[in-house]
Amino acid sequence: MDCKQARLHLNDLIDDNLEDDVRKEILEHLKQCEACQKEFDTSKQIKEALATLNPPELPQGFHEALMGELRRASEPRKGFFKKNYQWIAGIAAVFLLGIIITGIQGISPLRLAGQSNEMAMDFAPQAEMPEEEPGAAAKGAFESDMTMEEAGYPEERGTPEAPRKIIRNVSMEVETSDIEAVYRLFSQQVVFYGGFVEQGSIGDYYFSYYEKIQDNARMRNAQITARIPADDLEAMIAFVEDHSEVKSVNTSTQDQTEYYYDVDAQVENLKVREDRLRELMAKAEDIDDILSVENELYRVRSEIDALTRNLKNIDSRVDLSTLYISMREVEDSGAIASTDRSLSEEIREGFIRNINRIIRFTQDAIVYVVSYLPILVLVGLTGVMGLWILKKINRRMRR
Amino acid sequence: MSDQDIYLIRKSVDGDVRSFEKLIKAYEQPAFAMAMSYLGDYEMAAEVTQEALIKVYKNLGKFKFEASLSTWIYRIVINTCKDALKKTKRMKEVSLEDNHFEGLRDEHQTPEETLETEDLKTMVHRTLERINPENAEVIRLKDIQDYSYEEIAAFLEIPVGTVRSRLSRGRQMLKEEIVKAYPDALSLIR
Repeated sequence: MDCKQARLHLNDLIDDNLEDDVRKEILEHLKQCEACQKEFDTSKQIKEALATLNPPELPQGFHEALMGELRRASEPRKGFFKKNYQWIAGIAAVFLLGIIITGIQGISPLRLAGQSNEMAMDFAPQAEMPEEEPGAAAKGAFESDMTMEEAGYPEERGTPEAPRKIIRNVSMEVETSDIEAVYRLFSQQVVFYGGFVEQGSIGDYYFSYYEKIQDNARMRNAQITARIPADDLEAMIAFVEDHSEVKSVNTSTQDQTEYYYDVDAQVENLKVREDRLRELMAKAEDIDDILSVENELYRVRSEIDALTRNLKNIDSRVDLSTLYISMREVEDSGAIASTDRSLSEEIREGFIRNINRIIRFTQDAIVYVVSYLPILVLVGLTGVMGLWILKKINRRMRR
Repeated sequence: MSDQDIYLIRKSVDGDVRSFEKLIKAYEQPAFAMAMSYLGDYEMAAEVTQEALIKVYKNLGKFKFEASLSTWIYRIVINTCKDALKKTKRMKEVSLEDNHFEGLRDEHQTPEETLETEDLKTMVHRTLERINPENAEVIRLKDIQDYSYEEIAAFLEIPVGTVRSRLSRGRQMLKEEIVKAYPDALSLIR
């Protein structure tokens, strides 16, 4: 290694950031090169001098003073109107202008507020979308509390002492203004309940349906497929409701009780059969007998294994409910910006509408006048003739 | 980030000062140390740290979980420090115009004089103020605060490679400045 290379790595050597072999090479070079060694020593000593500048102790009473300031900062501001009167006056002026303009047009000012509501309503109809999953016992939001009788399962069909095997799937559609935070929050909450996220994705910009209304409607969406202990499913749904705007909830339950215990009984029977085969195996002496018993034993064992796997699968799906959350990012409906935008748009549209109206009025007036011209001429002529006759009559009368 | 932190952040956003107190406690001292290394003045550092942490409280609702909470907090501290520096610089410039002869004389103390009164520590610290602020900043974070290259890159929102090059350039400049300003310094160090 030459001096140039060594100097290049000097900083990393000081910060102890080097791979072992490179460090070895540099140290080797430093041993031979006095200039580089000096350079290294100086740099190291400066670094050590700098390190002694830290750490300063917190000033006494710093924490208390900070908390005092924070408490003051979090109190509701008393002088809100005084402090912000310029803003409020400005907003009021714009509102007044809008109302006057729309009032002149003969349109109710209520439409101003209506626009943002319409946007929020756009997704609402999806909440009524019918559940199409086959075998779904319950439909619609929050009907998961339905008892089994209601869902069409008579009580006596289940084994009374054995627990029911019910698989629950819930899918939710939610909207939020901060999708990343909410995505993370939900993922963490799932883990908190002892569940896990089976699948999750975020990103994928998509162009919103009402892009024409909103310029900035490039929003993201995200999906989470989570498995949650059945007992905590309700709590998780409540958590989701607390932290986002829920647009639809679909719950489906599958009762696997009957099937489960059928299979369970089958397994028990097979096990008895297996025991008997083992007994036969012990007694068998003929090689043919042994082979055929062994074959049968193998078949029974595989069947038991397959069915047991099946049962375990059901158990896992019963213990852990599946929650599918589909998230969509929306503009914060409380933001002033969006109201402002629709307001300015309203004003612009109103202005254009009124100009058009004036043009149309003038056109209509001209058309009206021109089209009625023959009649006007006729009326005028009759009038003139009438006056002329009246004058003549007058003259004759005087004579 | 732990569930506990997320919970505390949510409560703080709702205006719960107690939760914020728990959340912020661990960051107070490092934030102050950071302000101290930027500003070099004990009282001013305390003031600016307080201002920065209040900013953190007020803007916590805007925290996007993209970076870690500590990175986000230190970024705010660093930016508040820089704003404060800009303000004092402007004030210094004004006062310098008023009586710039005195100001100039102060800057041009002879090395011999200063070496007698200053020890190595203050010498290094004073020299640090004379080099390019971008490079000095990285030196402060690395050598005084002892943050890793990656952490510094996150605080300043620059690539790690840039941290590396600024550090290397800064250290070289610092060395040259020390040799220039205090020719005896090297013998002092040795």
